[in-house]
Amino acid sequence: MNSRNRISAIFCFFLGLTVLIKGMRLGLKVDQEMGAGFFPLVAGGILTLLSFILFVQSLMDHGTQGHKEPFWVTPSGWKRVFLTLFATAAYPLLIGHLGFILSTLFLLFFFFKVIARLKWWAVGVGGSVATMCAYLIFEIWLKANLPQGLLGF
Amino acid sequence: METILFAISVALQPINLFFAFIGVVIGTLVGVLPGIGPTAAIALLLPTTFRGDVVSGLIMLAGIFYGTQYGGSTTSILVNIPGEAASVVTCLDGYKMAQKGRAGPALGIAAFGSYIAGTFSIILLTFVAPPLAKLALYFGSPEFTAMAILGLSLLVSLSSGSMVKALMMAAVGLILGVVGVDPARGTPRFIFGIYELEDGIGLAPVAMGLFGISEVLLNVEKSLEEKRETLVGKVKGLLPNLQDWKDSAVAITQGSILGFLIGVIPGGNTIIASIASYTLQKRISKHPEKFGTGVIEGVAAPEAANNAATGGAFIPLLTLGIPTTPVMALLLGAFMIHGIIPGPLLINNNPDIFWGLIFSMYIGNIMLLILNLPLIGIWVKVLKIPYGILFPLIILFCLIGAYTLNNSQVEVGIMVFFGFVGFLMKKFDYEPALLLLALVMGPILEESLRRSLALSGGNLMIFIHRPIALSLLVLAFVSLVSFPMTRAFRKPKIN
Repeated sequence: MNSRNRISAIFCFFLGLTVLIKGMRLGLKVDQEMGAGFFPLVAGGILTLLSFILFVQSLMDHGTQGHKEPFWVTPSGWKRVFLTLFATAAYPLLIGHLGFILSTLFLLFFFFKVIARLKWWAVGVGGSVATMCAYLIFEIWLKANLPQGLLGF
Repeated sequence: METILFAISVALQPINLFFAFIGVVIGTLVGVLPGIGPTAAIALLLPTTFRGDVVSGLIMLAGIFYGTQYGGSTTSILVNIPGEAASVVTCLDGYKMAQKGRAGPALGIAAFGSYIAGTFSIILLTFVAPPLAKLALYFGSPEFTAMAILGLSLLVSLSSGSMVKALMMAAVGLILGVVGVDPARGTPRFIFGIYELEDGIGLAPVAMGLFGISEVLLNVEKSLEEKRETLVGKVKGLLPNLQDWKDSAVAITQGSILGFLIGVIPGGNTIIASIASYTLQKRISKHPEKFGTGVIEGVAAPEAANNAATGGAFIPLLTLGIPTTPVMALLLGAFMIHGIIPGPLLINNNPDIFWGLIFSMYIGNIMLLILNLPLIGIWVKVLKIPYGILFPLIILFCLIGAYTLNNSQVEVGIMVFFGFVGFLMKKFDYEPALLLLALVMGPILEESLRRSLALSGGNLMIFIHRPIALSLLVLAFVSLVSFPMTRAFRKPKIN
């Protein structure tokens, strides 16, 4: 965990420092009142200080050096994580063009087949039923005004 | 009497009964299913409450919260997998009872204990909340600033793991809370030209990402072919016998009281309540060595405590407007979307919401008791749904939920981003709950601090001159300083 603490401490240190500097630029005090930058400065300052403490702690703590957990639980786990993340991130980009029904079908087919490795008939039935239910709940019942896309549905 | 009749009339409206039912059914379902907790479920369904009546929406969301506590015990007892984090300790004796062929009484006492403790905590909520709200009317901006600081410090001190990391998460949450246009000066802060961020980072997409998407990513990383072995064949005789009741009486009583008290404390969530109650029961028991071998008190105590804590958690939100758990933060979001500010004035300004919500919980608890015992077979079948089918549906609901917040792809992007951030946070051993709570508390803290300083002409001594504010700040300091002691109390050794 020490190396992970070190990495996250470095990241948070720079994040805190950026916020702190930006806070100073936004102004700390205006007409005897708190400026827009006061709160970011304080929060950024606290984060910078704590990150530094965590970094130092990780350098000084030798007790858990020997115990190294692998980052990925299973060898192919990272593939499933990134494929899931990729498909999830692609969905909002697709939905505007293809509309709710088609993009949802693609998304579910992808998850059922590529990630869950279901049989084709299960992919087809599961994807279609889930899309239909989601459409009925959100578009028909809750009137969520989901995007129709280029094909008009 | 008039108030009680009014509360009954609101809660018994058919639409509110319907939403209470929907809430407890979804809650039980979420509780039964491992891999999705109440925070993610409420975040998912938060957008569905934006269009309807606020009372019905809140009744449903509250139903999900306390419903999960009932459902979580089913998986703990039958599969040895806690459906909900607060039911982790129920596995210790619940599963052992099931292995001995006593799954029925275990499930029965879990349901009855939950019902008794849940109702007890709502009775206390009914009588404690109004006088506390009256007291809170004397609170000014300095007191609210001190209260928010105390809330955050208690959350940090009660969190698990490194205190430095917990404080870091609180700081990150506070930073995220300042994103948007500064309400006092109109100065844009950290919006990077994205106009959707002018109103700040939405609570719901962040919660869905941190608790929904990240949980899915962690689960898909493992193998999806894992099959759950249930002891469903051994569920017989759901009604506990007289000896079971005698053995569980003390456990249910102490679980109810302790759970409620822990629920009221900021950061004292249902998980801590169940662990503390189990530990206390073991300490006061005449036969502590039998705990972990399948004793019924080991099921009754944590199940009573986690349900009692749900009622307690509503007190700071309804009387002070301060959320103390991620679920309460989401409920605050649901209030605010409808332009209602929970706090001391809620009882007078919106009695229908305040009393309707509280009384619906009495009804919800009865519904849960009815749902949990006779329908146990259905909940067990739900358990057999493979995660490979479940996770795409969770992601789909998250995506649609985030999109329908403002019909904006930016909200979906925020959710996906925080999904990955939440995944990394768990890998790097950081607590997402603190980040979410600080995100909600940040604007409250900033606004009350601004007003306090405006009152005093920029003099920080205002916090010293006001006795309540000073006391709260001293308490905050003490809670942070006494961190090692609270950790020792919170991490009991459970064999």
